[in-house]
Amino acid sequence: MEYAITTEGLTKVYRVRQTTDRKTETREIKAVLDLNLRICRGELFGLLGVNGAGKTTTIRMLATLLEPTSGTAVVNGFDVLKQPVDVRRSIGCLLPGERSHYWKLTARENLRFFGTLYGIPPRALENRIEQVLDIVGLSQRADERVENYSTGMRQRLALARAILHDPPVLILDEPTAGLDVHSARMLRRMVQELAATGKTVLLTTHNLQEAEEVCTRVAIIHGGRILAQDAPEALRALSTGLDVLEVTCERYALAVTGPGLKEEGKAKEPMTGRPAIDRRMTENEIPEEAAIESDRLQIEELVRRAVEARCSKCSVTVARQDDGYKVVVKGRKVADEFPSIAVTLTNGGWRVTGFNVSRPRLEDVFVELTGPTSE
Amino acid sequence: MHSRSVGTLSPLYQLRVLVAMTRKRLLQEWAYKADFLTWFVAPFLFVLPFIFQARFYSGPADTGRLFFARWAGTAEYVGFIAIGAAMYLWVTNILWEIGFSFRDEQVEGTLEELWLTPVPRGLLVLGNSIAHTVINSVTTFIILLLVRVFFGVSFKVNWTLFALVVVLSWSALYGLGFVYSGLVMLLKESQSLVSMGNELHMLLAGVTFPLSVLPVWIRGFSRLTPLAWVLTTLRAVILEGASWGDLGTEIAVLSTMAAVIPLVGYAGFLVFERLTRKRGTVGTY
Ligand SMILES: Nc1ncnc2c1ncn2[C@@H]1O[C@H](COP(=O)(O)OP(=O)(O)O)[C@@H](O)[C@H]1O
Ligand SMILES: [Mg+2]
Repeated sequence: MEYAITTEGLTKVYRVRQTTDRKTETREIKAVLDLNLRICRGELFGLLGVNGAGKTTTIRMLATLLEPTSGTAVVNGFDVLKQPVDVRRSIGCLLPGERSHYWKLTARENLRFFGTLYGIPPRALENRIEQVLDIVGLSQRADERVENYSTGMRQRLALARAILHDPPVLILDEPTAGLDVHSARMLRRMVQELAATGKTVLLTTHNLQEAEEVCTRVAIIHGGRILAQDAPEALRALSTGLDVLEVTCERYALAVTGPGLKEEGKAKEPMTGRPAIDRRMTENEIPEEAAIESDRLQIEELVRRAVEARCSKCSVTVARQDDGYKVVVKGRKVADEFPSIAVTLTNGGWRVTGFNVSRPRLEDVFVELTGPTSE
Repeated sequence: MHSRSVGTLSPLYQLRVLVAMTRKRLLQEWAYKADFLTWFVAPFLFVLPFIFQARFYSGPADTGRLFFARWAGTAEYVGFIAIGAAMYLWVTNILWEIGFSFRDEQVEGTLEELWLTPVPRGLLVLGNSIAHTVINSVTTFIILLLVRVFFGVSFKVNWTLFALVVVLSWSALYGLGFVYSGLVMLLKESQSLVSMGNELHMLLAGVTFPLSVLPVWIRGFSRLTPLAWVLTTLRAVILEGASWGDLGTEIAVLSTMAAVIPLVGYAGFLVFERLTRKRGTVGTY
């Protein structure tokens, strides 16, 4: 049993009755279509999608709260339709909405209640409650009524309840939605720590950064279908977007100025044969246009030579910046060529003073796959 | 942890669940102290007007008693009315409390959390209503005692018979409660269902009048209403000191209802519960 969760053609079509102009008709909403998921044990799997993509519907079917229209789902080796009780025992769920506690009861009373319903014997339960309160950092406030809690605390209490019976699988529906930055980070860290203890975590999110940062694998869901599923890095590689590599450089001779260093410039005379501008003569004036143009051409040629082996179609632009030049290289995977560019420039007599790499983000891939919002 | 968990069908586990749910309900009830008070005061206030109204109808120097006795079989009209009203409260509260308790959870947002637990669904229904059933039964009993003290109604009760009738009634009423809770979960609405049910009961069960005054065709429907049987039987037990022999038919009918209604009711509940899960609206309100 290597998978914690699998689904086979899982589909949910809601039938909603609509009354328009005295006519009542049944409209079908295809919320989840032919979903095939394979989530391994110990994975921190993210289901990423915009509002209405079908995330909650999927979660509810896995949690036995919603009956699928067709298809099957197996959680922790149990079929959600045929063995719902075993499924319920195997999962800890965090559903959206902060009203999922008894507000007039304290955190501890809430946990005690649910712990009993999950079949934890009384003595073990008290210890376990202490443990989970400690894990989510609520030990100090455990005997306060939930109505006095902040949103973040309620969410942490929900997580505490989800892990109370120590289930092997955690299903978290938008656990950080509506939380402030700090609470969200705290919760993310807790989830990662839980995953590190060997639990399988399935979490949904519409937050790309969260998916990228937290999950070991991400499935992009849109319109009820999975468009892609892989590790975040691998997903990024799907992008047709281009890397942008910026390199700033200046001539070695310029690095040290002043008299007595006349020979320095000569020693670093470039190998390209093009004579360098004599800085000593132009030190306090704007260098001639021609000299700059010649430098730019030289740098461009060097860079092209460095990347041509693997990126023939990239664009290279060189512009004057401060006392040196700024090179911008755009192309697929061109970021990987930075070392060879740096070496070539150095050998050519240019000192690399800085660089910046930007690759396509998961967001770019997401937008490419899902297209503009169709609502 | 899993190996230490108790199976969901072990009696010990089920007992613990029922206790936990009852405890939770009481804690909640206690948090709203005004409500708690209501539970004990309101029922008595509910019964009083019926009693005074009956006095008013009883005519000069209680001459109405004789006519009353001709219809009702007993001249003890205060007791008759008081028992009717108290039992009406008892029955309707049990019945609607079961449905309402899920409605509360639905509105609060905790129903899905309950549904996520491995507890058998029927046990959830039962557990959520025990606290109120107990409170409600205690207050009903207190009302009867108060009526006895303040209005001098004499009770000649065979307690074993009384206990049996109460238990049979409970069983039948819980059966109806199950259907009702499923229906409320599906339709997300209980107020109109409650009013409808209450009015019907008021009429069919003969809460404030003997069934013999009803037109024959309505009386036919009364025979199908558990509350009507509960009321006639309890009145006979409490006011007339009826014995086992006097109530053969009544006990037989109540026993049948106590056996059949819970089964049908539970099946109905499961149907509604499944429909709710198909619609995906367990947690919506
Ligand atoms: N109980 C329901 N009845 C009818 N339609 C629903 C129901 N729940 C969700 N939907 C619809 O199904 C689609 C997917 O919703 P959902 O699974 O909640 O998406 P997400 O969680 O990704 O935002 C949406 O179009 C939503 O309006
Ligand atoms: Mg959602």
